Amino acid sequence: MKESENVEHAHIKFSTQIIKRLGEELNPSVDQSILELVKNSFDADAKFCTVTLTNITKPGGTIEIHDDGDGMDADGIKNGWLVLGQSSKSIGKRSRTLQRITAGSKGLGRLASLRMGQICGLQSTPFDQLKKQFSLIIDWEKFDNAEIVEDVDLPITIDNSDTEFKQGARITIQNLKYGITERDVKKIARGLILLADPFGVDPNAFKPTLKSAEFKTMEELVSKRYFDDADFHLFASVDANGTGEASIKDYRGQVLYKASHADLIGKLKNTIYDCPPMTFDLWAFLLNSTTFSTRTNTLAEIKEWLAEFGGVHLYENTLRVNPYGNQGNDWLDMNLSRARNPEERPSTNTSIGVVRIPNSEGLLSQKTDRSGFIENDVFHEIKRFCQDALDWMAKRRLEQAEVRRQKDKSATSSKARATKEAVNTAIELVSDEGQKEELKKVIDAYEKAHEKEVKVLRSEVQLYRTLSTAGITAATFSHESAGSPIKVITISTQSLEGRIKQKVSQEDYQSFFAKRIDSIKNSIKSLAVLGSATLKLLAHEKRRPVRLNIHTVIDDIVNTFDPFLSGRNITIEKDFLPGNPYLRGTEASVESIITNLLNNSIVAFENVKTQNRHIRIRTTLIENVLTIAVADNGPGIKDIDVKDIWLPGQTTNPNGTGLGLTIVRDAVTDLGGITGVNAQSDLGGAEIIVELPIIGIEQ
Amino acid sequence: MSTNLLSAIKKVGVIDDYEDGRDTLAYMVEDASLEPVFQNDSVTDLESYLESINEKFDAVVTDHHLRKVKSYFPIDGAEFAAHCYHRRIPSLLVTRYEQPEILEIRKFREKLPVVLTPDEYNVDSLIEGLEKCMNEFAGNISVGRKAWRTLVRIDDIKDNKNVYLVIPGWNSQQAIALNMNNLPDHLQKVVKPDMRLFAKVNIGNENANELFIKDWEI
Repeated sequence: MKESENVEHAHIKFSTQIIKRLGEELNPSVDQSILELVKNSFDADAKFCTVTLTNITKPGGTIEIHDDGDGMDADGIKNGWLVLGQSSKSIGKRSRTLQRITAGSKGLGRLASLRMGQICGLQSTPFDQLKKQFSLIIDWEKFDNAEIVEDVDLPITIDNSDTEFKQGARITIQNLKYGITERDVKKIARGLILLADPFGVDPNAFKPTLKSAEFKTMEELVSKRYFDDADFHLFASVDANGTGEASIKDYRGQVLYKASHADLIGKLKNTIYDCPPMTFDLWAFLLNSTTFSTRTNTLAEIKEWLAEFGGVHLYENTLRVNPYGNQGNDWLDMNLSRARNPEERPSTNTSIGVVRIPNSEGLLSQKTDRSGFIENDVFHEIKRFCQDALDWMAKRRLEQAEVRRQKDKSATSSKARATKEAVNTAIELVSDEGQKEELKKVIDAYEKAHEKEVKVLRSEVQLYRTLSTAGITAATFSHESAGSPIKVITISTQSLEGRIKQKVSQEDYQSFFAKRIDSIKNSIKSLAVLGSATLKLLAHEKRRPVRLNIHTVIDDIVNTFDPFLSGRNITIEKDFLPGNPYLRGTEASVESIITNLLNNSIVAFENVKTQNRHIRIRTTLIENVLTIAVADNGPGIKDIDVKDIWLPGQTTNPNGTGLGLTIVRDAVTDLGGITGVNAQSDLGGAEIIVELPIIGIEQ
Repeated sequence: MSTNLLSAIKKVGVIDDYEDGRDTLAYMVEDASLEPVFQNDSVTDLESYLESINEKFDAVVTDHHLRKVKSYFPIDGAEFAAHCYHRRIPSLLVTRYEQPEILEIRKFREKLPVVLTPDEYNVDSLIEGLEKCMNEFAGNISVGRKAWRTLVRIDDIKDNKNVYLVIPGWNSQQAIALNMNNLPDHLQKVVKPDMRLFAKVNIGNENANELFIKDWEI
């Protein structure tokens, strides 16, 4: 460096506005702000930490947080407590005496908390200098009036005494900017209680308290531990190798089911759970009066407890992480799964759970505003493991439900027999002979009517079952035939056609081959329809409620049937109203209606020698009700009472199932509509009328 | 043979687990004056089979279902055709195009330029299909086969098995179905209805069955 040069030293300085901004923008809620300070006490090895709220309902109140932790000297205050944004707690660091994994709150969260009031005071006595007390007062107004942060002087006063102070720290936040509502106090109480895993059994666990009535009520509530009343207890864990396992116990603690890693992981074979070792407990309750009638605790008590603490809480390094398990938080999508499949799935209102990650090894990090973890791969793995365990539990419970249903079924018939005997015994006890006879007659009549009803239902079920089997078989064969024989015939014919055309003149082809080749091609088309029509009916998406354009669905069906209909010399007339009416429903239901009505007409034509076979599908609209009328020029409804045509098994066709119109009626009912019939329409044959409420018309 | 592009193609492998199926696929190959090479034996070691495939065939015509008759092939035809394409062997898939197949095939569609139904499979479509593959190998990719970065919205998920997507840049009114396992593993874990993501899609293609989706961004 040349001697003539001078050097000026400069630093970046921060405007006091930054403090204001950070303080305000990082302040998520009063309960979270207080929890931030309480976590500092945890890190300082405090066993007790008391939060006192004074005159807080209006602005101007005071919050005090007092602990018996390690405390700080002037150096600790200057180079630790006052340094914002720096975390002196590096990953995996453990506390001095209790070896706690420190929560490692960044200084920024603390800033937000401390700025809740106008003035913030700190008094601290370190564990190794018990005769000294270090005090500091921060008046935030001074910052508001200064330009840069360093301009504000913060003197630390030191009190020397002959007697010992109690070790620990006391933070007072005075002259609060806002009032704290009753609801907030409840949230603070809940947050403090849940912070250090009250569900566990560790007697040395950190126990922060709040001096308030709300806290006492809630503390009593949490201490009730209704876990023994849970109907199922799921316990799942992941070990250090990423291998999971799970078990389900009943309320007596007996193991019902056990799952290995492979059972849990499902289709993602040979994968592990790429997360630190963890456990997941979930207690699921069947909240109905039957299950609770024999227990000591009442349904209402459990419901209140679950309403307050239900949900799945997450504890990282023994401290609870907000907001998992908060009221309204459903991070495992339990309520969604339950809505999709309500049977045997717990919701956040009917279960309570705890995920414990004893040492997260720094693999998880919380967002600065304390609204949960940053959703990295490790977090997703934890979530996946919990959801796999829940899925597995749901499957096992469904299995149990199925067994129960079978049992109920057989129990019902023996129950019916027993009831009948009881009725007969009761009638025998009637002394008046005339009355006795009368009662017997009435019971007899009732029984006959009931039997008839059961018989109808039974035959309906039988028919549905038979038809389902026929459908499954048809689908299998459709797949096979489409896959190979039809393909072989199609391609062979095409090849044949090409080769013949090469070998013979066009004239010869036309006179000797064209007609025969065309016949094969047409037959293949009709044959292919049989298969594809069956398979199309079974398409998965058709059973999903969507916006359905009715005319489009009808067009599709008519197109599918077309080769088959023209083969039978049947013409279809579509007499549609302008536009395309739509409703919300499954394509399968509208398809069932139209397909069965077409089938009915096709069968009707077989029985008579109708020339110019004709089917008309007409749509009309009155207000928001769409009428679909399917009429044909067949023989009309004969040899059967018009009102009986909707009943299952009622048919005049010896080869028919008698189920077509029953399905039509059921499908129409599902769509909120009604059915009607005209035994003889203007076309001469039957007309089936379907009325469906629609949402609108697409032009 | 109509073009110079195809002068390198002589032997065409015919792959179908049914013997009759192989025969019929071969008819068209013969009709196009090419030599069919029948894969009659079962393939168990796919890796080594693919290693030596260049020596066996110059092109491939395959059915999609290859596992119905004994264990003819370890994978389905669509995946096999995509492997061939990757090794720059023109390959055609001949299959009946029904819903389950469409979903299975979509995963491989990027490397599957030509899928024909049996009634579309004739001498002309065979030659055209082989040409299309050769053209793509030479870098001449048609508009309908080029993938562009676009917004994709998850519309619905059914039984954790099928995912329905809406690609506004293609058609905001139509949902496209995908098998859940077509999504990358990390996406399968987090995918939810109403999620919006970017991916590359050949949005220049009007046929929903021919769409493929790749390079998901999360």
